[in-house]
Amino acid sequence: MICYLYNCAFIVIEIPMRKRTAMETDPLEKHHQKTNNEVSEDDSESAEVKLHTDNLNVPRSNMDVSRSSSTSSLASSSQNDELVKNGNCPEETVSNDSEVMSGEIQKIPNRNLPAVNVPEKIILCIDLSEDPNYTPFKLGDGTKYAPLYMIKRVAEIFINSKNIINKSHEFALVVLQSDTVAWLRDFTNDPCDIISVLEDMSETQQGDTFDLSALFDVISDHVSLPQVSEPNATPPPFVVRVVLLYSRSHCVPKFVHGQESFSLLLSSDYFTVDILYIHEDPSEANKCEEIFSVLDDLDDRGFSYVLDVPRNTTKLHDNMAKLLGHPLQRPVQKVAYYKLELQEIR
Amino acid sequence: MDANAIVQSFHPKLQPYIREVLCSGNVGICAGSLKIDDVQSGRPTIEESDCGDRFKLIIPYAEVGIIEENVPSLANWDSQDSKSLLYVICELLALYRKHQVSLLSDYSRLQFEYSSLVYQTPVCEDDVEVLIGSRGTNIKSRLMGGAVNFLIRLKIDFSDLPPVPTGEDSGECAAVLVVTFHPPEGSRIIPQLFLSPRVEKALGGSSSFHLPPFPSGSCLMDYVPVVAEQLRDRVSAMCVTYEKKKEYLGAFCYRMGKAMLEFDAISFSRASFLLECRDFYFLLHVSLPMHFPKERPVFVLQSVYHSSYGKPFKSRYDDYPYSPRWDPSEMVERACTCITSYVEVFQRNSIQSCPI
Repeated sequence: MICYLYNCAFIVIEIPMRKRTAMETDPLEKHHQKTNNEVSEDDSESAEVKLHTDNLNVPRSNMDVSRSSSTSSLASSSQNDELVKNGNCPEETVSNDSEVMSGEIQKIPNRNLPAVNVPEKIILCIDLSEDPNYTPFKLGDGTKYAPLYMIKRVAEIFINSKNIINKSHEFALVVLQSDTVAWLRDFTNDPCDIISVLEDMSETQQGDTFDLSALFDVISDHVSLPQVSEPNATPPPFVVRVVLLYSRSHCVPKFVHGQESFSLLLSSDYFTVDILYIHEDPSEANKCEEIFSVLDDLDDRGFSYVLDVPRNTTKLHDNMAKLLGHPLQRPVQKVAYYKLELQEIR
Repeated sequence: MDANAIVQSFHPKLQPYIREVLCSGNVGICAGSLKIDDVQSGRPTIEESDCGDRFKLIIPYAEVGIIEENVPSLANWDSQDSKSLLYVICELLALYRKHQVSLLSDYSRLQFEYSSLVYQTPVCEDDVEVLIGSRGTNIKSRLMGGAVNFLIRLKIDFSDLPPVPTGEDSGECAAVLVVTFHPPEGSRIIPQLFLSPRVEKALGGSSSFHLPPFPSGSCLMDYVPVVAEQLRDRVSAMCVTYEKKKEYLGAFCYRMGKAMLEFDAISFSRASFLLECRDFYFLLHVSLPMHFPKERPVFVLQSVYHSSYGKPFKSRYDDYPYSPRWDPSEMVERACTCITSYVEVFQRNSIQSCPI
């Protein structure tokens, strides 16, 4: 990995691609330049890369918090899955992935914005709906917890962690009820203010549909995105990030009355949608795969983090932590790599 | 405006006084009566008469000739040049400065301070402003009772200071030393240092630079260069620190940039990463103190699973080898090796201290 520190104001991290097999003829740099120059076209292609269909393994026991290995997750965007399969560093893996992604792997979305840790306005969207037949989250000692309880816990840890990293970040709270959306708490940078509201929330019934239009209408009504005259050089005064914790396994979200608000928000570089989908183990009896597909397709610009987790307490905490990254500074999801050992690329 | 019109523009209660002023003829030594200009009212009003209560009074003083000689821009007023008024003001200010300096001749000590400062150190006339404080209305007390301030602009090269982020108003860089002699021939001498916001911020806040005390028996000629030297050293230390911090965070990015959560892109003093060891995830907060690299970096590990009373479990890790003489990549490599072996301990501690 090469780091350039420009003008003391921002770091541009260029991440070299995986090692190529002998068949590839295009040199590394050429692909990177291609990405930079043809941003609009390439972005949609690169974001198309999906490996999810191969990984629906039979879920194993998720009783032990620290060693749980349930792999019934729908996305395999992180290399950790490959580690489970192969036990190698992803860079050394020559697997069928390279065939799947041979043309597209080089295209990591790139945008030329100063990587400054400006204050974030984070809109936490918590799904309050509860399936009466839910599978609980289990801990190592066997105690069981309702999904909403766990979601509140990880949301609390998320808020406190963001506050520890940088006290300027602000949080707002939106709740997804049966079929409506409510903006409950306006932006505050005091974790207690927002956590106390969150604690008081209780579950609602799961409706038949969930209206994404309404969600983004409400969000659009409460935020205004900054405009900057020289976006390549000047950082914005703040950025806005939606962190959506969707937890329905039977209700497919839809844009019931159009995507106008959503598209308008997405047209700004300073707006990001991150999603953590918390679901039952995917099966014929539920719609988890379809729901994930809808959520994954929402933002095709390539800078979102879309994660999913089944009823695995550890992975729920891990994945929520992955959402802590600052949208202007974090790596794109598919290159994020967290292992402490063997981390660097020489 | 003729005299009557001017009088009419004032509030009725003021009018008698104004009339006397305008019609009094010569007040001072030289020719020309007092003039009034720029009549305004203190309260909001759209009326143009009977309400004025503030104005500019133009007093002829000394000889116009003298003024014209020393204020060339006034004597040669160029109405085409929009800077003409600016030049006049600058020249008046220079005159005022010289005038204040001339008042110093009443105080032998201060006269000495000024001349030795200006003629025997790199400080020049243009960098010093003297103000003889005035208290009371009596001329004698005005000169004797008040304190005397020396404002000295320190010539320091701030060009290497860490840049501010584009878009922020950086303002100018300046350092002004104010030395107050109070009373003028007395022994109480109080120095103060004023830094422009840009400089203050770059040095790390208002309390980051400690002004040395004015040694008793010393004088400006000796003291001012010492202050300038110390400030210069501080500025270059900050520049070095800034570069080192950037290098160090750069080395961390090389080592684990794909695990980056957030870093301080202004002063490169902080970075946070999400790391995983044997399926155990944790946060690593790296912070670089003000005197890095002399002071070692601070590592804090934080749990993503455990918290008590709403506060996530955190643990500071200090027991790692460090030397300011190593290059950044070696510093980072050694620290990471130790952190890797510490994670197990951290994991145990966090589970024990905050059972889920």
